[in-house]
Amino acid sequence: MVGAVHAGSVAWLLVVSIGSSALGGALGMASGIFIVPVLTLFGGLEIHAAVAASIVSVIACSCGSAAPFLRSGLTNIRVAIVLEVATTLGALTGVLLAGILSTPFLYFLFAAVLLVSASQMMARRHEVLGETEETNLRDWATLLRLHSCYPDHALGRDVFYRVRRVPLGLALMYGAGLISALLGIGSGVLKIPAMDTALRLPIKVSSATSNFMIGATAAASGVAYFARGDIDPVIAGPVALGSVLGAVLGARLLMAVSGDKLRLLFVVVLVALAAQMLLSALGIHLTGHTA
Amino acid sequence: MSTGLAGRSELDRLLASVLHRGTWLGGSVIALGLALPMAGWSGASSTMIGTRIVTAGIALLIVLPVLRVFLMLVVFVGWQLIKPGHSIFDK
Repeated sequence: MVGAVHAGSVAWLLVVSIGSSALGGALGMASGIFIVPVLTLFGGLEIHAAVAASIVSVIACSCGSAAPFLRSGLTNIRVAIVLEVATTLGALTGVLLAGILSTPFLYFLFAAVLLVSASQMMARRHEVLGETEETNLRDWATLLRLHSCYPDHALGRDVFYRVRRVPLGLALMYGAGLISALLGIGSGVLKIPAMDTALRLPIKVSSATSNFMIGATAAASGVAYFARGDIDPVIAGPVALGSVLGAVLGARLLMAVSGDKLRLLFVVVLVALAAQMLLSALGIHLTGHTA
Repeated sequence: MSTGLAGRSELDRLLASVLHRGTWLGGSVIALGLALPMAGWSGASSTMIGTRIVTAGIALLIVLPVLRVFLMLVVFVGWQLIKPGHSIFDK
């Protein structure tokens, strides 16, 4: 009951979700990985209620940031559609394989993937944006017309980019969908390294496109949670509202900050998440669940 | 810095508009539901109405990505019927 909740609790949920959504939105992984630990560790919420609220938060964050990203040309819808196919197929395979591979092994695997991704993303730190290469008219990206451009406010110019190695990107996205389905986690944290490493997209385009894709995936879970009555409006209401506001802030942050700083922040989050996964593999769960 | 909204595809603009309006509508409904019991109204009915309004706002937000996917499908199919060979992604 909304009235039963103290105004202070609503304010706390609003502040937490604004911060989580702003950071998650700017990094393109939505708010789930930040909001679940905060709600369980500091809010004392039961994990199930926190996950349900986080799903609503992820949807609000994705939708809230999608409009400014689409308007500014950061979201590449063609890339999103192509990659969603691979992620969905990977997730379906994950559902079929559930229970075959041991969970500790999967946590180790996930941690290893995150650490490799972090090192590869760091290696691309000083790459010059907008470098043009000879066009191969027969590559997948050209055939699917995936190449595009976006205005970079931090650089003060339009950045043209070419999408590379689509088959490798599809394979990595398939893996991201597979692992996320096996471990029950959001795949945003794997999507961005895949787009960055394989497709060689600018980090801002990767973040915006990942944010765009995440909403549809989360909505599938959201509908199920909502239909079962598992979403508590007292918690999810302020979290959703805060996430909408945070998403707008996150979008502005992504557009204003330089790609290098964004990349560095993302790598820090990847390493922290890898540490959490290694602890989970050893049976030490900080939040009782990975989000 | 030339590439703004005018340079994007019709689909980009349509999706941006739908998601923008839908998100703020859902957010406003939730804000209304949260504010109602706190606005000084007493009694269980205002609390219950507030909770229902918040639930409606959450439902609106959850439906939004589904609507986005459906809209993309409809626009794509419709575009193929109206202008075969052209793409909704074209600028």
